[in-house]
Amino acid sequence: MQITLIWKIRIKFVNYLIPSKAVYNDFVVDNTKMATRWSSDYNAIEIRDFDAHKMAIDYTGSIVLLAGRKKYGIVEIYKSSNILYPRSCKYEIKALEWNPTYHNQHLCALAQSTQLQLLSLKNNVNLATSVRLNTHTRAILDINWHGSDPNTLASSSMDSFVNIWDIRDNTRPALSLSAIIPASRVRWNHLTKHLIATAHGGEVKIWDQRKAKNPIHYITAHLSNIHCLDWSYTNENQLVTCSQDCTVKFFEINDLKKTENVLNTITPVWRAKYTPFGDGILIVLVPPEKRVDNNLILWNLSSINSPVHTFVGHSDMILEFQWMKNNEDKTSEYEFITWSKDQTMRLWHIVSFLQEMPMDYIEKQNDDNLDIDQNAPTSDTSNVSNDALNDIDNVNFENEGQDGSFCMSASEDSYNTEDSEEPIVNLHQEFLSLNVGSEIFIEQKDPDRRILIALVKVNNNSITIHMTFPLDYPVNVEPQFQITKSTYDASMKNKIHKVLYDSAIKQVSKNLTCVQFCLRELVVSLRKSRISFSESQFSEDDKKTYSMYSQSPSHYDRTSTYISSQDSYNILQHKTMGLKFCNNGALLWFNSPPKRKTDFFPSISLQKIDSANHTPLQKLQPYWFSNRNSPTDGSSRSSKSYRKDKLDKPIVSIYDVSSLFPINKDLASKYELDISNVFSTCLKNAWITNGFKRKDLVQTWTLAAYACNTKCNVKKKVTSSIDQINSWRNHPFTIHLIDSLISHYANHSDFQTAALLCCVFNPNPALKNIEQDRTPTPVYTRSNSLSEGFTFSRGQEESTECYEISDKGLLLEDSDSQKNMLYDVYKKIYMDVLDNLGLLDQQTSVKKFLKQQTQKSSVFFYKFIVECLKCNDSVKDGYCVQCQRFSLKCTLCNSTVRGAAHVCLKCGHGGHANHLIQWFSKESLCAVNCGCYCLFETMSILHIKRYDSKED
Amino acid sequence: MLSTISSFETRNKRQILSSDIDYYNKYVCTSSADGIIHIFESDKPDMYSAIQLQEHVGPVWQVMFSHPKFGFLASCGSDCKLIVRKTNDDGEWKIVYQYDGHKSSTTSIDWAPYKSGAIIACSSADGTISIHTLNNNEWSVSKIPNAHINGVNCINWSNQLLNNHLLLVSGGNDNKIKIWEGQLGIWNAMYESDNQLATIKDISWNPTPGLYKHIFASCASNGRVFVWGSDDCCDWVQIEIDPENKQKQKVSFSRFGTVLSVTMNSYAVKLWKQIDKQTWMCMERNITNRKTLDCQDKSVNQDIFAAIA
Repeated sequence: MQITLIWKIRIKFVNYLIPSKAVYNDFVVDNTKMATRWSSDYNAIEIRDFDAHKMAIDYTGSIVLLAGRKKYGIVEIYKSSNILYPRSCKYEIKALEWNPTYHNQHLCALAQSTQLQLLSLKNNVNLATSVRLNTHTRAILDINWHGSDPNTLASSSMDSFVNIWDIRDNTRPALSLSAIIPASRVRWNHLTKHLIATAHGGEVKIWDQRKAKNPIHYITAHLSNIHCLDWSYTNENQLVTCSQDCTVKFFEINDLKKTENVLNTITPVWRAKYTPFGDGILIVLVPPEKRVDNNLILWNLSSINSPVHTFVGHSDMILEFQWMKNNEDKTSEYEFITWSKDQTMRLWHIVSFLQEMPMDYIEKQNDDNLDIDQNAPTSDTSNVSNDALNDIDNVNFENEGQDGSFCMSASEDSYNTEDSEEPIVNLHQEFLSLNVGSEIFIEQKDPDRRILIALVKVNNNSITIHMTFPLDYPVNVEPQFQITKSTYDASMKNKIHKVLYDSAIKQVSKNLTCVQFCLRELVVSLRKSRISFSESQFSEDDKKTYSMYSQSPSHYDRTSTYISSQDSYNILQHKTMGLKFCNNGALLWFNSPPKRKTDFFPSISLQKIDSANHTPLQKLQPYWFSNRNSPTDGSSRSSKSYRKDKLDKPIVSIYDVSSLFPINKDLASKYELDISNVFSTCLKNAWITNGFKRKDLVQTWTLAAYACNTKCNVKKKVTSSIDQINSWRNHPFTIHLIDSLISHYANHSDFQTAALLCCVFNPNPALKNIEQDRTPTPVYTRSNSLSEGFTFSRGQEESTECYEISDKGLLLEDSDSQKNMLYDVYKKIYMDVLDNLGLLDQQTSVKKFLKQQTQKSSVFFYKFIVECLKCNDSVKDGYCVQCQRFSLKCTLCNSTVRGAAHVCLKCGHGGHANHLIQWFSKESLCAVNCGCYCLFETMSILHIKRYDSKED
Repeated sequence: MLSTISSFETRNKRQILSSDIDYYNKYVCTSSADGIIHIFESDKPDMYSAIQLQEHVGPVWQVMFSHPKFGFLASCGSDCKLIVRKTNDDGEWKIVYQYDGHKSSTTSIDWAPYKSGAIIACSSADGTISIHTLNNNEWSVSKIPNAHINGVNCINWSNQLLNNHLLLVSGGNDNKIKIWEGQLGIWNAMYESDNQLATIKDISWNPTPGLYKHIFASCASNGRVFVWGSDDCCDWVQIEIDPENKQKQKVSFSRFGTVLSVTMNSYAVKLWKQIDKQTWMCMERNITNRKTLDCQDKSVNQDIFAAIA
């Protein structure tokens, strides 16, 4: 490990990420070195039967050209997995590349034997060969477009020439670089437009276009063939090569004498490319023999000791990968696409915090199963599940292999090299950065006296630990632990002490701080001590975690399980859809753009994980976790058939699901609630329900009708014969019949029917009282000074509209107050529904039947009668039929009021409701200036104490 | 037959996390992981005239309209805030209340039944639940500390009162479900479930009484959904829904009618209706969206629920 670049640890959260002290601290404290591996591909496209081995993605990042042995075709990755415009050709296609510039983004260069073809994709509809460049005499090995000049293309061939083309002039190359050994790779510099690098076997030549005779640099790079070379995006003088000899080398072309930087790997490196962000490289290893070790590994060049990240997902060797340009959205994550021998194309995105922070920070390992879920092959579903299972096996196998060999060795190395550089955190810092879970309470921390007192509460047991830190801590000196208070017994105390001591030793032997680690370990073990009783309850996942805990030989392993156990808590899983019932039978359905399959949030909860309980101490979101067992579930088969490429836009749909519910709006508006004649009301309602083809309700209402008619002759209209009613009420069955009808409908949520039955058979005694109370009440009559106004009479004047409640409706016993309460509940629910449906009239008429209202709102019932000023006749709807005039003119705008009106009960002035609301929002006096405090007076007339927003 | 009222693409850049529709089915709001809340009319979804509210930083986990009596729109997000907005006279949504007393992401919000006044509960990943009450134009907060160790994931109000006290159910990362009864700003746990073996992801209280007086459904992160029924809020009977299928994600009870919708992975939705105390009937087979998501093809979209009579 000879890399000596100095790396600044940068912690920066991008755009939406919320920096949190806790997270920050943890990043610093957790200095565990290990490659994180997750599968963060968010799109996998399987393309069968094409056997492609070359792939290139275009400027827009949506069109991929795939080339097989003797055929090629393009795929629009966000639309379908079908090969468009498949073509066949005579020879094998050795190289292909889309033009990386905006102007010529429709062009794709294709090297086929000796011929260089330029395909042009016109308006995404037609793939045509536009130009053929024939100058090479032997097979072309590699091509590369110039990064900034849209018309320049370099090609290298077996004929040992590297030709640079201006594609506007297709007769001959603009420049020909001659080398003795044919160049297997050719690459333009990303930053300087004159420089081009070629790989000849194990050697690299750097050319300057302007002095094309001889290469300006000549590097003997590798012992065996160079597989890939790439220029840095940040430094024009840096390039990377990777080779069969299991090394990745970095060169500074201006200072070639400098010791070269080497990254050793265990297998040959197939591809190595700089990351377009930061200072990292992404490499693809050649899997040894048959073993499927297809990992793409992301390295941070500044801490080359361990990979930053491993991308897992492909089940076979990765043949090609390419960064995608992010043209539209500069803030979005970097994405790259891989093509593997397993005939799947995967899109991965580099989480922004990974870009910003390629330090050796542990990211969790995502559950691999996710991939399979997303695989969604469109073919035969029965194969799918098998494939999926195999896939899992592969992935698992590969994980184990990886852990055993590669990552572990890397992390060991990192320790050897970095121990000396490790800044020893002083106690101040350590205490400040303490991030403990909810079980641990720091009672006192005194870095000056080097004391920390912590209270740990687990499972109703508490323990107080007194820690003192010797001066040399943490350099191989552990703190002293003292258990002061504890609810555990002595043997347990010993155990606790041992746990603390062991974990402290483990940490300080590496010169690491240990407080947080010890406390966490303690909580873990305390929990385990309880959990051991009930382990059988836990799911297999949990068990696995536990067993891994107990078996894990080293700290690293534990860390990895610890991390993996957090599952996806800080990750917003790809949520395919959500569904929510809303008011009134609206069902809100939404899906999510699958383009962002997995949203990552370096969340606040990241480190605060309570590993023992398999849960994070904090967590972000209730809904959106994917289930790790899900994809193998047989019932998800249907999901496999969907074509996710169609779902590239978030959609919100509103469904009308009111038909699922027993409450019907049309019925609600039609139902009769005339309790003057229960029998006919029931029959009428039966007839109404018949119109809606609700045969069940027809039966119910007919039954109800007959129930209240048992003793009567149906033909003879029921009159208010007290005897009949009494006998009817006293009939042993009818009451229970109606009662059970009501409770049946209520239990099955048909509150419409239930509430109506309640109303019809159990009218409000208050209403009845109105009828019975025949004593004339004082009549307020007010005619205002203006000719236009209302005259009110308050009291019990008879009118046709007034509810006529006769005794005959009264059927159910009033005495059962509990039942009444229940019935009121039904009525209230129905009222809410009606309110929501906008059927306010119906709502009010149901409200009249509420039993409870009499107790709450005072016992006054009013009937307002509007009289015409001219003829003193009562008028309806503010219009006197006799005089043919509207009786109210608005006091504010002086025009006739036809709609909603507001009138003062005292002075009679009023007008359009809107106008008066405006008026009285500022004023309290009457608009006509008659000296009346309208609102106040009206309220006092109506016996309203004050405006009360609360109902019921 | 069920029909689509409307269906439209939204302009959310990232995934939609929650959506709500107002009382009169007039406006739809969606919250998205990009931190923007969109509000648009449900009948003419012109997405380009949609109102965008961008006060949140980071994903907005939930957004919810209150009853029109109050006319609020509340939202919570990963920036640990609860924001309550209201329209002013010009129809602009203005923040009327903002609470950032939570130490961690606010995970879920719910408006209490409107008859009790403007009360909103907000759960947070820091393990607390805060209840905000509007009194004389001022918001007062009461908090349930340590509601769930490790964070509260979901809360839901009961639409019914018990002894004139509000009831709130919550589920959290301690694998438990708790029912809280509020008395004068003090919240007591009146029921605590045993360990559910997995963190509770979603919880939904049936707004109307059915065969049991109180019914709620819970969904755990192991994909199991239980329906809890009780008449007195003390003894609860659990029934597992669809035990074979372990990929349930979210539950939602219909406003009335005791229909439970269970959202699952992979574009599947099942609707369940209670038959008797022990049995729930699936109202259809999977509602699967095959090509239905092609939004141009609205006729197909209607087909999602075609299986339901």
